[in-house]
Amino acid sequence: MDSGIKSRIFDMILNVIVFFSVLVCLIPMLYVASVSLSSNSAILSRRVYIWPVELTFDSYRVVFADKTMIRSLLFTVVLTLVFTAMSMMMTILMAYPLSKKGLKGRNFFLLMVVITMYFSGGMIPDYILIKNLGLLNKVGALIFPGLISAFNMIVLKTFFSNLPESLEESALIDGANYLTILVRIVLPLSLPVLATLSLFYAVGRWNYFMDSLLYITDSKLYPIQLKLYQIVYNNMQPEISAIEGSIASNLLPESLKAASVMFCTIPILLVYPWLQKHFVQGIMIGSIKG
Amino acid sequence: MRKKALAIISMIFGIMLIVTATAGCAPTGGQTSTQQPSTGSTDTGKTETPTTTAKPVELRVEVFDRGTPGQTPVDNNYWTKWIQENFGNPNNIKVTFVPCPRSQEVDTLNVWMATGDAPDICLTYDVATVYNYYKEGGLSDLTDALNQYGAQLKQYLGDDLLKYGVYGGRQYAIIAKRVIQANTGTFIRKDWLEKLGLPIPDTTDEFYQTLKAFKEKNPGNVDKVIPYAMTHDVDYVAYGFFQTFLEDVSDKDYYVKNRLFLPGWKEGARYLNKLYNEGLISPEFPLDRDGKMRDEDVIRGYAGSYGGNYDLALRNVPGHNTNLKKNFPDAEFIPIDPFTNIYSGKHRKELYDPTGIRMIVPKTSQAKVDAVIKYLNWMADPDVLFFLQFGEEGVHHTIVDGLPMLTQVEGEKMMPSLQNIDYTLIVNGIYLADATKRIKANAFSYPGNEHLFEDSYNLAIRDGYVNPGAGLIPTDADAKYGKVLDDKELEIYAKSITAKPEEFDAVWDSLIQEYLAAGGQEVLDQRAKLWDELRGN
Repeated sequence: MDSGIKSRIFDMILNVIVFFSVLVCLIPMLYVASVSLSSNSAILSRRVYIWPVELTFDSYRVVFADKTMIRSLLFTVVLTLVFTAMSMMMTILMAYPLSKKGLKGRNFFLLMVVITMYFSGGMIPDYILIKNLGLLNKVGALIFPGLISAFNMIVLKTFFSNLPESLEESALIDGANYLTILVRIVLPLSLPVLATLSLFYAVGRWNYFMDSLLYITDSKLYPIQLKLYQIVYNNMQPEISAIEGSIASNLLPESLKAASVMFCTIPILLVYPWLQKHFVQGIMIGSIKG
Repeated sequence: MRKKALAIISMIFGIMLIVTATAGCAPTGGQTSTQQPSTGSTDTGKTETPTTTAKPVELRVEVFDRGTPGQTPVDNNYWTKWIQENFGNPNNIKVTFVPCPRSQEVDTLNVWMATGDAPDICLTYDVATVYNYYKEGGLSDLTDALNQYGAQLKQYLGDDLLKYGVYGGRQYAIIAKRVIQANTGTFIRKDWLEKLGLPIPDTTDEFYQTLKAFKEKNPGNVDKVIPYAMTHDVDYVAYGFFQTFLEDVSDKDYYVKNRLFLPGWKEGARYLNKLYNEGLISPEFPLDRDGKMRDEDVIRGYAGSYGGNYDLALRNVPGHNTNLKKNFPDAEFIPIDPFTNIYSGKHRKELYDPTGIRMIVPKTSQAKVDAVIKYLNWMADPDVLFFLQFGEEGVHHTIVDGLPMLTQVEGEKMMPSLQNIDYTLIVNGIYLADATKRIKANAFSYPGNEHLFEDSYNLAIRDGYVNPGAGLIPTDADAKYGKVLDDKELEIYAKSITAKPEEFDAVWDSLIQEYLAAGGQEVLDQRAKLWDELRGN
């Protein structure tokens, strides 16, 4: 009885803490959302907090009327899908052999991988590399350099090596080769980690824009985040127009910036619920038995 | 068996790598062939001379990409085509535009320069970047080409402006003309003045009396009155109070002592301290880091006056006057210039220097120097410049009172940047040869506030002067401590102005010591040294 009350109080405290952490994450989103839906004079006189004031969809009309935005969005969706699929394939193909203790030169390869986690060439060597590979202004510049994340690869490798060896041994005895084992036993058992890593890759690709900033000058290949970056930072800020001596009469309204932010964020947010069940799913319950 | 299979998987992995790598290379074959001639030829420096060859010279010009919603591609649009037709074709030059993200211009330029991939005309607003490239021998000498092909350009820019691009007696950079040098201005509620029957204040003291009247009588009948609204950027938004007490000093001293150490500057801060303690300025100004609190106070009708950019009240965004009128139909901010220097009686204020964007030609493009100058010289033709700035009549502009008024154009013929600034390299701002017409044409950019612009502008340049240090490169100490010292300076204002009047001196002096210790002294020393080096005694 006593302990029942105690645990209930404990639950309540937990709930309160979780509730506030959720608020901390949600309120900024809500604020941006309501700014994107409010009138400009309401935003400027600071009357907008959590709910839109003087509701208007003008900003979204502008964003959706902008063909380059829509094109960038579609391009980024395709880019993210292709990138994630290729990344996962490459990461799996590298992590699986490296998870086998018997592989010759395993430590050497691992060391090479780990080194890249600590040292990188820097911006200019990277640019030269991409240029000499002929990837400037090519989709490839946005895909190939980031195909394998060393960190993700090591996570996956560790996960693979923690799988019970007896599973694979029994499959070997049944005459399966390694490829079959990988595809039919290891991967199905690793769905949670695969889902997580895919999400890392997808969100990373979706949000990253430094590479496109440097390697892409063709506006047809602008990912959505680069567009967003330009809208939020480049576009005729008061400081820039002061430096340039142009007339700062046509600055971009806050609500349009906020609408662009929502436009770029919502698609990737939609991925989370879809992958949610894999995070929750228990890992390999009862895979050995039976 | 087991190892063999592992090896197979490793091999698949290897094959994947090769496949992806070649996939990356495959489509490049076609592209490199088009790029090869230009880079190859510039590297060796012995290119075909442009005079007789049938093959056009490729001139690569950097262009800023600002990501304006709905914009046409900045490297292929109505304007680039017009430039090709009217300049490129007659001169057997193929003008190619190379986009560069506006906010990353310096980083991108550094990468380009380091990899030998830079366009023939590179752009930057950063003086230090230009100077560093000059010192490292990265720039082409433009002197001879300018003399041979640049008569019109030289006439348009004038020696004053050309000299900003001269290093060691040779022309290494061409610097665009900045049309609007006006910098700071002050605004006051006209309806409040009328209600109290007060004249437009014409001296610092009259202004102070006006602020006091605002505070006591609350002419707007609002919840709280802020007679003079400020942000944390004190030396800018309250420039006039400092200028009131400044003594005249030599050019060198003015440059070296940069604000805080100028004789009289402290008195300006002391005056603001008085205003603060009498409740005449925004009580929370140090917290207003982006001006949003100020904007709010202005639009809600709390503020009686404020300072800042000379056109701040007239701008569409944040739209002080426009939005204020929505809340109070009779309210309006008008430009004033009350601050008078106690020594000279003048309304002194600092202006922007007349320089705009800096154009440089990297060493790798030495062979294209003539084409570069021809291009800029062609642009200096008044008709060409007019078209690039104002476009077609009836499409991009209409003639109002004999002056071109730009209209918003969407679709194919739109201007991807304000006033088409990215294609009018040699000018920053709306330019007409006639000075009065120029100002009138600029006023069109403030719909609803056109009637205030001319006053605003004229007051903002009255008794103005350019900082004698303009065009000097920042010292190493400036580069090293700049950010820290700027923050420190704002801290000095925040703490000393909000101190009790009797504690002002102690607070100011101790913070100045901290400023000097935090690198301020080094900046002072290096600035003095740099001045002697570059400008003589």
